[in-house]
Amino acid sequence: MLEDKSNVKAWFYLGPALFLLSIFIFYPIFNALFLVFLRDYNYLQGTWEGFTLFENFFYVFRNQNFTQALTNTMIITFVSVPISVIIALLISVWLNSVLKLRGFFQTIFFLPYVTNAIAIGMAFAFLFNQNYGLINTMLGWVGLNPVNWVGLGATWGNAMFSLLIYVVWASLAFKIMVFLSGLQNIDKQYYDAARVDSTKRYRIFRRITVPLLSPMIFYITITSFIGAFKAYTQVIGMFGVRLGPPGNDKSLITIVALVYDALDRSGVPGALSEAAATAIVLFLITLVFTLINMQVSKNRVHYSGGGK
Amino acid sequence: MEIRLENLTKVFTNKKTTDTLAVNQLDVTIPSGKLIGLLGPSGCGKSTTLYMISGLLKPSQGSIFFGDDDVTTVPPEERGIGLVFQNYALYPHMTVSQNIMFPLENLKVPKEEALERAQKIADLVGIGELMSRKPAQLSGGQQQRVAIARALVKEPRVLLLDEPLSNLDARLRIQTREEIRRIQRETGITTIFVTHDQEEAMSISDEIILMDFGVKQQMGAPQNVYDEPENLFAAKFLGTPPINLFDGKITAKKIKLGPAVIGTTQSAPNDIVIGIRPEGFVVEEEGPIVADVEFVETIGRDTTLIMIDPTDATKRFRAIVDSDYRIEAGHQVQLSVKPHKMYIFDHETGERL
Repeated sequence: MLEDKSNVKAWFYLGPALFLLSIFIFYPIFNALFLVFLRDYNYLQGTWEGFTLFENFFYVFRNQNFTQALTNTMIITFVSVPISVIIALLISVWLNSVLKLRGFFQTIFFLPYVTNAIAIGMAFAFLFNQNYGLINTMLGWVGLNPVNWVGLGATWGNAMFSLLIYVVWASLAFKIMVFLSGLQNIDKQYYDAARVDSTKRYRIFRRITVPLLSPMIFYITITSFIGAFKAYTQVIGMFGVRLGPPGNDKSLITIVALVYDALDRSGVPGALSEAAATAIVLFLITLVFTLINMQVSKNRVHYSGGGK
Repeated sequence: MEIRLENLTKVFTNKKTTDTLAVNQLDVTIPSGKLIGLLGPSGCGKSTTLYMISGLLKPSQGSIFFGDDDVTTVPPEERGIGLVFQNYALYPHMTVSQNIMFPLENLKVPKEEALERAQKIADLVGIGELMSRKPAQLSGGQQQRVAIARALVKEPRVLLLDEPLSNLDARLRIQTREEIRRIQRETGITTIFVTHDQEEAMSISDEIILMDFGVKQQMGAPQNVYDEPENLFAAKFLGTPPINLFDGKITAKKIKLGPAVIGTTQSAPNDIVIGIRPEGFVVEEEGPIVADVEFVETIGRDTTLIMIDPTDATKRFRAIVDSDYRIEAGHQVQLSVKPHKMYIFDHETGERL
């Protein structure tokens, strides 16, 4: 009797969340899994021409932008994630040792997290402006010519460089917050012990801080990889729906952008299935890299008190 | 290595509350090669003193000497001390062997020599076979030994232990304290350990330093401090069961406990506190103290009498006597006092008279 009662209560509490999740997460996932096997599904009429295993995936790979999207997504992921994790780690270790103005610095580093991505993107687009931007002004100070980062006809390389800086910066806030809370949970006695044993600072960082923080680093790395594979808003924020600098449209297209690209054509039979297939390709890529990540870090993550 | 503390003082400042005087003008000379117990109740400043010796805390005033070197301003990493923390502070991600070798790596000792030294010290403390385990796979007592091994491996000038036994269960505590005694004897290293447990300090220390409210109360060999307490605090803090205290008087050079005259003294007439160890009573027909027995416990050869304080019926006192006497609860007994088990203290200052 008692058990029944508590069960009812549990479902009651879970209800609202499950209801929303069902509508916006579970149904779309299963629907996508279903759509991907339909041939020439017509969204407007709700009709299709039988079933297929791979046809929709061929559409994805045959998309003229697929290679570019895959390349961009990979570059964004594999460049921005390691760099931002390392920078966030260094900043949080520094913040953790700062005594004065700590709250002030913490607020500054945390601001990007509570600021709209589009707004930050626009600010960055202006920073990289060829004529008025701060970056080119600073280059001028050291005698370098202004670079066309994101303006009309900017090269893919310049635009990608600007985008990466923005992506790294925007992703620091959350990482710093997680690392800082992790650092504050490390027992101060380890540092006292290390000091008594004449440990140099960089060795304390490498041999004590990093291993003791490794569960956090691992968590952040995995979630950042997953987040970076989904890169899209950052591109929109900086370059708008052209997905690239003017005159070089779609040069910064990503895999998620391909999904939206297909959805834009949803009136055309099969387009919706192509969008679903793209999403599943992205899911598989994410899954593979997450598994690799977990395998690689297996022996490098130390859960305190674990080991038994 | 002789350690000398001169006028050592530590004040903790705090914006919100008043400043705390944790250690107050401590003057102590710790002889070389001895095992010293720094003893006192919680908050008496004993750990603060230990951390000042280690260098992790800076003294507010005063100096610390290691031998002839003034190390007051020397940072902990250059003092050549080994420190065992209360919670051991073993690095959880390293094996026992890595933990022990860590200080040697910092000193750039070649790997093979480091391995050899780590193994030797691990054998000394009796954890030689556990080298590849992680701290979480060890029992409390084993972790404690790893911590001692890590502190000893770099051959420090001084070994400091902060409440080394407080995390162990009762049986392991007795075993480990003897182990600490043995390791200290074998290495001959000057060792200071902090404890609030008087029995622990008494059983293994060469000398104890008794502290209260940041002030040294008494220093000496444990038995000497027990036999000759210099003040009321020292008398009260040492001994299980604790010393019995009575309000008494000195009149005409006689020590009076209520109506009973239990000794003589040269001190001036005064209100005093009389302290008598439980083992300091003798049941005698002509004994001056007459007391009602409330309760009798006989354990083996000792009989403990719990009696009503003749000067204050709300208080009880305790005597341990030979079990030859057949005494029953509810009866009256007469007791005399062994003079060397009785101490008199000034009622106001607590100083021994």
